[in-house]
Formats: sequence, C-alpha cells, structure tokens
Amino acid sequence: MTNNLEDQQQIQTDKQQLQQLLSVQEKNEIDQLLAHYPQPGGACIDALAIVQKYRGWVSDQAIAALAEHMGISLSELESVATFYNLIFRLPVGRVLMHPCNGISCQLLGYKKIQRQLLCALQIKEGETSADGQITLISLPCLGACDKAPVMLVREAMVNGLEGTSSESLLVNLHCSELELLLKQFKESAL
Amino acid sequence: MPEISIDGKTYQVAAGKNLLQVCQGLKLQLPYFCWHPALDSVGSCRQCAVLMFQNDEDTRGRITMACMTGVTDGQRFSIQANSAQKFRQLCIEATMTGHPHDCPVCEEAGECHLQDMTLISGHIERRFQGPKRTHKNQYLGPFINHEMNRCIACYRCVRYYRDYSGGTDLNVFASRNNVFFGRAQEGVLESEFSGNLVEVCPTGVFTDRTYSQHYSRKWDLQSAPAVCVHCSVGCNIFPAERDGILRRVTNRYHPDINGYFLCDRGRFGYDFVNHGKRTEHAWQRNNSKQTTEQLNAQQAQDSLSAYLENTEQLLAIGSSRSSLENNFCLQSLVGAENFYSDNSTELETQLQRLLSHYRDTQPSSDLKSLETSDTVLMIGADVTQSAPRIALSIRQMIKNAGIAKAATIGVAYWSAAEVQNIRQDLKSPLHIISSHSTRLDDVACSIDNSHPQQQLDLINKICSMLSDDNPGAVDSRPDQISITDKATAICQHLLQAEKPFIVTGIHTGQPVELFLASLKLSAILYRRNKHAGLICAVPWVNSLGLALLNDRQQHFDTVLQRLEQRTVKTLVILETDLYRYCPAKKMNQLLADVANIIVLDHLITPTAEQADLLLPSASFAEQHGSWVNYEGRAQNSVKCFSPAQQRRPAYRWLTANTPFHSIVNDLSGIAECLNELPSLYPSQSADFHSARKTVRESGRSALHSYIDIKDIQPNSDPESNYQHSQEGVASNLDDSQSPAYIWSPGWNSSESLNQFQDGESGAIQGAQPGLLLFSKGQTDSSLVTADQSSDSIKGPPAESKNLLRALPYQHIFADEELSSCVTSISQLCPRDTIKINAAQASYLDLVSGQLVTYSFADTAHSLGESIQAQSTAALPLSIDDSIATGVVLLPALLLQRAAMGDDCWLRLAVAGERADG
Amino acid sequence: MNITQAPTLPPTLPLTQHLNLQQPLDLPAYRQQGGYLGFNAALEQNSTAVLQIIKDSNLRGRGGAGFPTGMKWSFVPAATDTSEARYLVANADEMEPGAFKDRWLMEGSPHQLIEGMLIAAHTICANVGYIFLRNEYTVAAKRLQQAIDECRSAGLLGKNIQGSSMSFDLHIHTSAGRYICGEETALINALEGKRAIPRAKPPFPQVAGLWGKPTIVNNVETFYNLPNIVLFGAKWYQSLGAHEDAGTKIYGVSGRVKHPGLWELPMGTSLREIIEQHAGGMSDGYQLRAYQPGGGSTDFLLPEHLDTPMDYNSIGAIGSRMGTGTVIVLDDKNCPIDMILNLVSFFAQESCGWCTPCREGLPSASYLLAQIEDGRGKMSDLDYLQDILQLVSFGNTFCALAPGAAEPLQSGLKFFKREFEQHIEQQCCPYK
Ligand SMILES: Cc1cc2nc3c(=O)[nH]c(=O)nc-3n(C[C@H](O)[C@H](O)[C@H](O)COP(=O)(O)O)c2cc1C
Ligand code: SF4
Ligand code: FES
Repeated sequence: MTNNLEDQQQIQTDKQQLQQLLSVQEKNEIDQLLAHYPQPGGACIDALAIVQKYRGWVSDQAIAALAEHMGISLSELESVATFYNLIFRLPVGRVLMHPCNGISCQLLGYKKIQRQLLCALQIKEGETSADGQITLISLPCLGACDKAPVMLVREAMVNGLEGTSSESLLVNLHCSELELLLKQFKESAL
Repeated sequence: MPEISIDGKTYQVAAGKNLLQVCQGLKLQLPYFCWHPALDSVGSCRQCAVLMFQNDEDTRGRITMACMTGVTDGQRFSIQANSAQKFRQLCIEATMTGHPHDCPVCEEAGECHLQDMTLISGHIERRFQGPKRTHKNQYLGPFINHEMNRCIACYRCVRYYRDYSGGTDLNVFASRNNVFFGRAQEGVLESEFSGNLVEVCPTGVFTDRTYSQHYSRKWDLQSAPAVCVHCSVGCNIFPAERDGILRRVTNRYHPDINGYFLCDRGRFGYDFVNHGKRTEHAWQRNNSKQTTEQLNAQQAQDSLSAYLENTEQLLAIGSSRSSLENNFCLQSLVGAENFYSDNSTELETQLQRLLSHYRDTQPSSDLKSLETSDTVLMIGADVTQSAPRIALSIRQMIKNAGIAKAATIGVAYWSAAEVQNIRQDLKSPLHIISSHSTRLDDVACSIDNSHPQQQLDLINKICSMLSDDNPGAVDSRPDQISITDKATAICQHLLQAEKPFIVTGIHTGQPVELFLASLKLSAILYRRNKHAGLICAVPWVNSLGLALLNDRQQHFDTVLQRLEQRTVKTLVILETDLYRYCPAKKMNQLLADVANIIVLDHLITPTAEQADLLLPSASFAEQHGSWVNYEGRAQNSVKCFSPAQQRRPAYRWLTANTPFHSIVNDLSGIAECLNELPSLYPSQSADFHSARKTVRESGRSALHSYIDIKDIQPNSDPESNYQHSQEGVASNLDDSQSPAYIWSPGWNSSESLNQFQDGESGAIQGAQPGLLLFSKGQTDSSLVTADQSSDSIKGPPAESKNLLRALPYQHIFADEELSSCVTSISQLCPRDTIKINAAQASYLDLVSGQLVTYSFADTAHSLGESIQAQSTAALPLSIDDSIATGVVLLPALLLQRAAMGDDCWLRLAVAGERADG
Repeated sequence: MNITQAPTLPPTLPLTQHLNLQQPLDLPAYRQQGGYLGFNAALEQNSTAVLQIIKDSNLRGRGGAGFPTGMKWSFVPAATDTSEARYLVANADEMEPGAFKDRWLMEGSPHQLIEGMLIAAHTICANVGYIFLRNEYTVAAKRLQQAIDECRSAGLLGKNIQGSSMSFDLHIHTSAGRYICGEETALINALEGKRAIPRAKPPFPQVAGLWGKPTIVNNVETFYNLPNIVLFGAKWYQSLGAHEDAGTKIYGVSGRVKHPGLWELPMGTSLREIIEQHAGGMSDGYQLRAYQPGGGSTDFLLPEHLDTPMDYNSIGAIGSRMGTGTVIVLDDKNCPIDMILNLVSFFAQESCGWCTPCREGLPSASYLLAQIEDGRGKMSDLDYLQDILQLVSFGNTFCALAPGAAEPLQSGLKFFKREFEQHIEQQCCPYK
C-alpha cells in the first residue's frame, strides 16, 4: 500500500525508469504479443522469453519493468517466471552448456561428462565459470537418445559425446571460448 | 435428496454438494487442508481421501478425494476402510517431511489445524531422515508474520488472497517441493483483508504479528461472543484476553454478516483497548486550586450526581461508537430534550431517512444475499474504505456469472479451479458511480467518475428509465447523451438481473442529494423487483442505534450553536471526541465557557483532556452492550473480561444501581422496533452457564501461579450468563446462547467451527443471529415520493471562479477513531494530501507534491459565522486522474473537522500565497 | 491449382514417407509427393463424415495413453456459433525420458504435421491452432515456422482455406521448459501464460479448455497418421497393424544397443524384432538386463517378455505400458538402482508442486534411492519406498505425472529386489 506522498512519487519515477529499462525492440515485440491474447496475462511466458532473448536472463529490474509494461502484477509475472526451468532469474554466462542428464544419456556416460566439464570449468552444476562466460545447466532428456550422450551448446546439439574426440567436437562448435574449454576438457579427460 | 452410504450407514444428503461438505455437515471426522468452506475445492492436498465403491459388488473400491466428488444418489463410500486410512496417513507423513516440527516456538501450536489433522490422520512416526527444505521469510508489514518453513503447500493463502479477496501481491513462486508463498519482494501486504491469512493458513506460516507482541497460548485466553466496533457492518468477533490485556481478535462466524472473514481494521484495531492513553481513574478538576484530583468510585458517582442536579442549561452528547445501553442511560439521565447526537445535520438527516426507508419502504439486505446477487450498482461509496467487509462480499458476487456459466456444463460451484477456468474474465456486472476511483475498480464493468451533479443526473436518469417504460424525449445536449448512454447500460443490467443490488453509503462530506437519489433509485428498483437489495454503509458502529434513540433528531450542529450562544453550563460527553468535528482552536473557544464538562470515555481524547469530571469507561471488550449495524440489526456483544482499575461501563456510571437487564428492558420499551431486544440476552436463570475460558486453560491453580500460588478467585459477572472461568459449559453445548469460543475435542483450530455449524456452512448452533429491527419493511410503493430527492446538488454559495467542491477521501485505517490510534494500523495511514486531477492542477498552476492551502468559499455556516478566514495548514498536493474535474479530495477526517458538517467549496492556493478568487 | 493426382497406391510407411532430416520437403515438393491431398479429401467431406473415418480407423492417440482419437474428438460439442473460438493443439512438448520420436518427425517432415492438424481442425471446427513445442527443439521450430509461412502464403492457413468456409490459423508456442507441460491440461494453462498446473477433469478440455473454450490436444505423431487415413480409408489403416491395434507406429530404442534409432513399423511389431533386429541387439560386451518399453514412465520389462507385440493392450497385459513406444534398454553394466534414481529424481524435479503425494512423496523416494545407491540404505527403506508407491499410485495424485514415476520404481523393486538388498547389505553399489 502506498501510504505517503514521497512513496507515491518514488513509485512514479521508479515506474518511469522501469519503462525505460526495456528497449524499443523488446517493447515492440511484447506489444505485438499482447495484441494476440485475450488477456495480458496470457502473454507472460512469451514476454519473459523475449526479454531473456535479449538479455540472456531476466533480472529483478527487467521483470519489474515487464510487469509494468504489460499491466500485470509483479507477483503474477514472478510466479510464472519462477515456475519454468528455462526462464533464468539469475545471470548466466554468454554460453549455455546443457549436457543431457536424461536416462539414456546417463546410461551412456552423462555423469562422467558432466564431472569433467565441471572440473574443467571449476564450477558446480548450475554455476557460471569465474570469467562469467560459460554456465553449465544439465537438462532432462533432450530428445536425442539415439545419439546419447548429448549436450546442447548455444542451441546446437552435440551428439555422441562418449568416445568422441574433442577435436571432432570442435568442428561443431564455432566459438573460441569453447575451444579453450574443450582443450581443458580434453586434457582433464586424459 | 440423494441417499448415500458411508461406512455402512445411509444418509440423506443435500444435492449439489461434494462429499467433504456432506461429511462436515454430518460431523464425520475426515481430515482436509486445501478445502475451505469459503474457498471450495481444488483437490490439491489429497488429505480428504475416502474409498468409493463402483457398485454393490465392488469390495475393493478406489481412492477418491471427497472434496472433488459430487454426491449422487446410491453412492457408497468408506472413510474407515484400511486402505483409505493408510493413504491419509501416508499423505500427511509426506506433508510433514519438510515441516520444521517447531511446535514449541510456534504461535499456532495448540490451535493448529495441521496438528489436529496429523492426529486425526494417524501419523505418529517420522520416517524421513533427509534434509528439510528451508526458505527465507519475508517482512509482510505490521500485521502478519511469515514463517515459510512451516508451509505445507495447501495453496489456501494464495487462493484466499488472490481469488477471494482480490489481492494481487501475494503469490506462489517456484515449483515442486520448493514452492514459496509470499510476495515478489518483501513489503507490506496490500490487501485490506490480509489478516484472514492468519486463519486461512492451516499452520503457522502466517500468524498475527500484533498477537505476537503479547502472545499467549489459546488455551490461556478467555473470550466472548462480541461484535466488532470499527465500522457499521457489525462483524462478529471473538476478542480474547489474558491478564487484563486484550490479546487478539479472531473471526466469529455469522452466516449473514462476516461469514469466515474480517477486514484488517476489525482484526487489528483491537489494540486501542490496551492503549497507553486509556483512562484508568476518575479525575476531577479543581479550578480553584488549579489541581486535578483522583476520586474513588463513590466520590465520582456523587460528583456526577451533583453536576447533574441542575438540569438547566444541561446538554449531553451521545455517541455513534457507544452502545445502545450507554446512550440510552445517558438519554434517560439527562432527559431526551437535552440529548444530542454526535452527527451533523446532514448526517442526522440521512440516517433518519435511512431508518424510515427501512421502516416504510424496503428493508436492508445482508451480506450473504449481496454475495448471491447478480448485479451491483455502487453509488458514492468506496466501501472498501468505509465498511470494508461489504467490499469483500461484492467481490464474491462478481463471480456469480461464471458460476452460472459453469453450471450450464454441469460443473458445480464448489469446483473452484474449474469454475475459474470456465469463467475466464466473465464477471457479474458491478457499476460504480463515484467522484473518484475506488478499491473495487478492478472488478467493475463500468466506472463513472464524475462531478456530483453529473452523478445525480445519471442516477435520476436511471430512476426515470426504471420507473417509466417510456423515458421520454431524448435530451440532445452532448453531456446528456452520454448520461443517457450510461444510464441505459446500467438500467439494462439492473433490469436483466434476478437480484440487483444498490450499494451506497452515508458519510460526512457526501452530498445529501446523492444519497437521497440513491435511496429513491433503490426503492424504484425494489418496486419492480422484490429481490432487489439495498446495502447502505453508515458512518460508525452504532450510528443507526443512536439515530433510533434520537427520535427528536437533535444533532451536533445545534450543540455547536448552543455552545456558541453560551447557553450550556453543564456538558456531558459520552465516548466521543468533539475535536473530530470542529477545528481545535474553535473547539477550545467553545468549551472555554462551559462550567462543567463531564466526559465518559475509555481513551484520553482531546475532549477528555478538557473534562472537569472524567469518568473512565469500559471498552467494548469490557462490557455488555448492543449495537445496531447498517442493516438495522441489533446485536449484543458480550463482555470479554472485567475492566481493571476504576473503569466501568458507561451505563454503570450513569445508572449506579439499575441491574443490566432492567436497563435493557427499559430500553426495549422506548420504541416498538426495540421490543424484542431483551431476547438477545439469555435469561439469567438459564440452566447452564457458559465458560469464557477453555477447558484446556492451564488450570485455575496454574494460570496465575507465576504471580501467586494461591488460587485467584475468578471475577463474577452478575450481568450475564457467562463465567470468567473455565467452569461452565464449553463452546456450544448449551445452544441457547452464543458460545464464547469455538473448540471441540480433536479440533483445536478455528476450523473446529465445522463441528458446530448447522449443516455445512450453516450458522453456529445456538449463536444469536441478532435482531433485525426493520425486517418487515412495508413495501408500499406510494411511499417513494419525489420530494425526497432533488434534481440538483446545492451549488457553491457564491458564483465565483475556481471554486472546487470538496469531497472526502476515505481510508480504511485513517478514518475510524479507535482503530487509528493503534500502532500497527497508524503505520499504514496515508499521509494527508489534497488531491485533484492533472488537468485541474495545470489549470490552477499547481504541481504534484507542492504544498497548498485551501480556504472556504464565503459561506454562512450554521454557526452564523463565516469560516472563510480560517487558516489552514498546508498540505502537499497529489494528482489523481480518476478525480472528476471540479472536485477536490481532502482526507475524510480533515474535511469533517474543517467543514463542521457543511458542504464545502474550496479554493486552493500555493502555501504562502494568499488565495483569492 | 497444381495439385498432383491422388496416388493410387497407399504408402507402406504412411508416417515417414516424406521424412527427410537433412532437408525437409518444402511446400511444392511436399505437394508434388501427394502432400495435402488428405486434407483436400477431408475438406470435401463434412466434419461428421471425417470424424466417422477416424473413429472407424481405430486410431489411438500416440501421446502415451492410447486413447481413441475419434472418440476424443466426438466429445467436442457441436459448433453452433462459428465465430466462437475453438482450439486445436499439437502436443510437441516431448520431455518423456527416452522419447525422441516427435522431434524426428517434426524435423524431417513439418508439412505432414500441419496437414494432420488441418484435417483435425476441419473435423472439430477449430479455428485456431497451436503447436506447443519444446524449447530445446530449435531446429524443429525453424522448420515448422517455415512450413507455416509457406502454408499461409499458399492459402492453406488463414481465412477461407482453399476457397472453403474453413478458417484456421496456426501458431508455434515455445515452452519455457517443464515436463508437466506435456500433460494436456497443464499445457493449456501454460498456453494461457500461467503456471503449468494440471486441471481437474471434468470438465474435459474438449468442452472447456483453452480460455474456457472447446479444445483438443493431440500428440504430434497422432496427427501424422491423419492424412493417409482420410486418403485411403479406415480399412486400409487397420490392415497396417501387425497385431490388435491399427496403423504403424514410430518405435525407437536407446541405450547400449548396436544401432539406437527410430523406425516406423507396423503397430504390434514384437519387442524382440524391434530391439534385436532394428536396433541390432546389444552392443558388444553387454547383456540385456531389462528395458522400459515406452519411455521413462513405464514399468520395466525383462528379456522374457521380448516376444510380446508392442501395442497398447499386449504391453498392458504384461504389466507395463506402450507409452511413447520408445524403448530404453538397461544393460548389465549399469546399476538398475542408479537408473531408477535418475528417473525418480527427474520426476521429483519436474513435479509441479500442486498435490502433496507427488510434491513430497517423489523427493522422499528420490532421497531414499540415493541413500541406497550410495551405500547408506536400510532394509526398512524398502518398505518406506513401497509406501510411497502406494501414496503416488494412479488415482491418488492429481495428475498422471507421479503415477508415471511410480512405474519404474514399482517394477524395479520387484525385478531388482536382489540388487536393492545387495546395495543395502554391502553398503555400496556393486556396479561401481
Ligand atoms: C506428466 C505427463 C506428461 C506428458 N507429456 C506428454 C508429451 O510430452 N507429449 C504428448 O504428446 N503427450 C504427453 N502426455 C499425454 C498428454 O496428457 C495427452 O494425453 C496427449 O497429448 C494426448 O494426445 P493423444 O490423444 O494424441 O495421445 C503427458 C502426460 C502426462 C501425465
Ligand atoms: S501429480 Fe500432482 S504435483 Fe505432481 S505434477 Fe501432477 S498435479 Fe503436480
Ligand atoms: S481437502 Fe480434498 S484434496 Fe485437499
């Protein structure tokens, strides 16, 4: 409850600042979405995804700005955001590595792969490497069980990780951070 | 009526209900968490599992949730079957895996639904050895504690807070066994009904923070069936006391008034009883010696008699916040000719009009019937602020269209989530006519925020459309066209509805014409449709009671005049603070010449500080009394505990020796409608006495043993049938009077109510519903006469530029005298501001946040003096675009004080500058 | 209009006839090969007639439960007001552990999904469709979007399709990731932008689903069956099955087999043929220990069950479920308890948190399994696990997620009793 004037004014300016937090592009895309739905709440998940697309994750401020922009309560948006696995409410690295921990991948060696990756990155599951570049989050069955074990890196599926040489992995991954990482991975795997 | 069998016994049950409701009605012991009689079923906790058999041959049956199973003829169930019992036991064992088992330090302990259900379900051993999940708690404001680790994820809190009370800032976050119930960010809960979380939560996640400050176990409290004194709805409550401190207030179920829920003003406002500025002793000012002397009771009594010996130039002011008995005793003592109300002319007129409307035209409706209505037109009242419980009922009526829609595809009203999915954003229509936004705007289908004159035009238009099948020539003036459109839309809904309701209110500063027009509209509607209802909030808890006694209609403006004329020598003031009706400086002047000021009150108000004789009176919790709520329902409120020090009920000071029941008897004789008043009070000779203390109270010897090992003789209460001890009949075993608390073996929480209700969601057995004083309403349509309302609002006194019509903005926490002095509540009072819309501000060259002063238009006040020159304190300006142009909003209390009851027209100016027109 | 004449010969692989994973057919190519002829055939008949064909075909939903599709559709109330929205949803959330068939179909032949949906939309008079797509399926998303765009410009989607009175628009909704979104009522909540909590039934989505309106949710593979059913009739379709059930089915195998993969085979092909012939049997040096016939939420079966035909009733009769038809093979070098632990903790993680047995029961089971696997188990834990099974068994929870989790656990406790006891007695995992 906003009880005194300063609070109210504070909130007013906060709201304005919040509005500015979203980029024009984000706002446009969200507005298009909103036009689609019978109720603004319906666009929640998609709108969160848009924000995440541009920012990698959804910060407290971004979510407040989004709620304000969409005209729904913060608690409603937060309730939805925290329900889904792939809306990140904590910062993630530029590169997301998602080894599959589904059962087929586990049967073919997920645990070892995960261990080696974590060791190379010197992080724990769900964490981001110290340089802020790489976040490792294992995901449940990625629907590529015939190629197990697999890993999703920057939306690209890396198949048949077991027994594959790091070099051949590199061919699939055009990103220098990963080359570095995988070199370490290879070394530690030796 | 379907016939079903449960554990081999057959029962005739009500159709359309679910099995859990049925079992509750039958008092069968079936545990549950997520179901709540007002929140209905969602089937999430799975605790109400029973076995259901397919047919007569089926011996195995299958588990089904009672709360999700509608009863139909011929069904066979078992609660006792081993597999059902085993399942319920496993289910609660699972529930408890993450629970901290911190009952010793939990304030819910001893009245915890979770504890009760654990026992009923038969879970006694904790097998799970793994780590418990933990959460951080949040600061949720001055009313509610948050201890998330105790959560059992029944989802009741969010379902209550969001779906029932319309709050938006509490929600469930995350998922799986990590679900978190709270706010997105720490902070004060925004809903005016947040306090119900305390009772809705079946465990100790949400507890009463004000109770924490003087916590006591439930079984060491004594309580009584009382009535909330913080607004005119008259919700039923259980105040609970220990050691002379009122510890808390909880809901006392009344099917037609508050149901299961109170508002936060009512629940947390109780602490004024413990206020540091309580009057404790009788004091007399000795002007000659310039001293104040403490008197003993006898001296005080004698002194009062002496003052009142001379009835010449005697004037007494009754109180809208005091009981019928207190007011009556004062009136009898000083004579009706000397007795005045604490209402302005305007208020008194409106109250008397309302009484005659109830008496002659249309009786008032109760909240239960409001909840079942299908269209509401709310006029000129923001009931969330003035009589909050009404707003909660309106929020329920909004859902009826969806419930009806669900019924068309065979989905029962109690399937809460399913009804919601079918309903989507379908709402029963709520139309609002007001000069500014209200807290119900979020569910309204149309909102007309306009100048009072336009509001009046609109209402009159609706009246003429409703009373006349041919509304006559169309007025083509642009504003009239829009008014016609609006009126047509509203009329359509009112006419289509089976049960249309008018909701309005009487409060200071509101144009009388608007109120009269609303009454007229209601009467016309009622003439067309006998199911049409009227709800009219009145200012305070006993405003109608006082109006009833005050048949001479002697109001406060006359008091002011007489004080001004210096024709008052002795002034008796009963439990009202005159400084709320008049600027302090003025009041000081007026009181300066009164020789004898006698004040009876329980708080040291500014008025009490002026007293020559101050008599400490008892609060509502320390006395018996009856109060007449907005519907004209007289309810008696039973004394919870004996007043300490020299405090005593005002009626005791005023009539030293008359037994209480004789007072009630005399009172009942003064008006026909009061004849049955004594029936509210159980006869003194009843066979049973009721206990105010629970049978589980620490025991007579133990309770005070930290003070003295000797047993303390409990106080006696010759005025009622209730004992200040655990001796007597517990709860409702005697169904001739309202139980003093609700408890049943095995059911220690407030949910034990279900053991005492008449059927599922019925009244508490034996509880007094109160006495409807005007239930008969004559319904003679000829009584709707035109002269009762007018076409135009009284305009400004002089045609001059830049005059704004001042109207009050009400606030649930700021406006009511007793609750607003409570620390937790005053924290949430808004800072006083002056509000206008942005266009108005820019026209006046004012900006938001600027300090502004106001001055009155040249108006001849009833005092016969111009109050224009009054200097006013500067207030910051705030902009609110919902406010109609030409209207300025002032805090209700400030407006009441400044305007002294008159309509007022203001001019705004930047502080420091002189305002000139 | 340049439409190829109806092929006279029905395809032998009606689901995968157009499949091309490298480069799926674009609209002209798809049409060239007979695409959208099924839809045209449907459009020429009224919806009751099409519904009857589907009913007669005995097509059973491929989402796991095998509910007859025609019957499901028949619960949709007759359309009285064509302006009222009705929804059709393709459930492409595929998060069942070990299931990977829908992705394969969508990546390889996006137009056939659209064609199937058009036929369904025509039959139930839906005017808006959604493909509820798993977030990780970005390739499928791209290809589907392309196909949708093609259809829109070709007048196959939008208003007055092919000059008819039918209007249908199709959108892709990308999930934000949660297994429960696959449950059809939770999916509807997710589409409404809410937390994906299942809804109680009744009312069934067919009557009051998305936004309170009639809604049909079908699995992706179910839709792939439709074009050829309409084109070649119910009889033909029934004749495809090798056993009781009609049609063909996408079967898959993963785990330590020589050739893990997916194949379209006659419904009712035996497990032995699938595992030994198509998947090439176990990899060298591995023995078949047990397998889950239809994804992570189905009961284990043993080598002795290999000769059972893979169809709904036959697999049901031996105590498991055909589920998604994707077999997960457990070899003799992997610890069965570790496998069950993986599955149960997945389901515990993915519990929506609504009902108590699932929310609290599954994490407890997962904890107990971890203790046992780590060599800290007690014999009494086995009883506790049995009790949790009872707690989360079918009908006791709000939706079918937790009962699904119970299946590998209950069969595991039965078939791997010895391993459980070994873990507890030896206080370590014998496989490590
Ligand atoms: C927890 C849970 C997850 C499910 N996930 C999926 C899924 O990913 N894809 C799917 O098609 N059906 C899934 N289903 C089944 C759906 O609820 C639904 O039955 C199915 O989409 C219906 O399609 P069908 O009739 O074509 O089989 C799931 C069911 C449950 C209980
Ligand atoms: S079984 Fe219950 S908690 Fe689990 S996913 Fe279903 S509804 Fe949610
Ligand atoms: S009370 Fe029935 S499931 Fe919770």
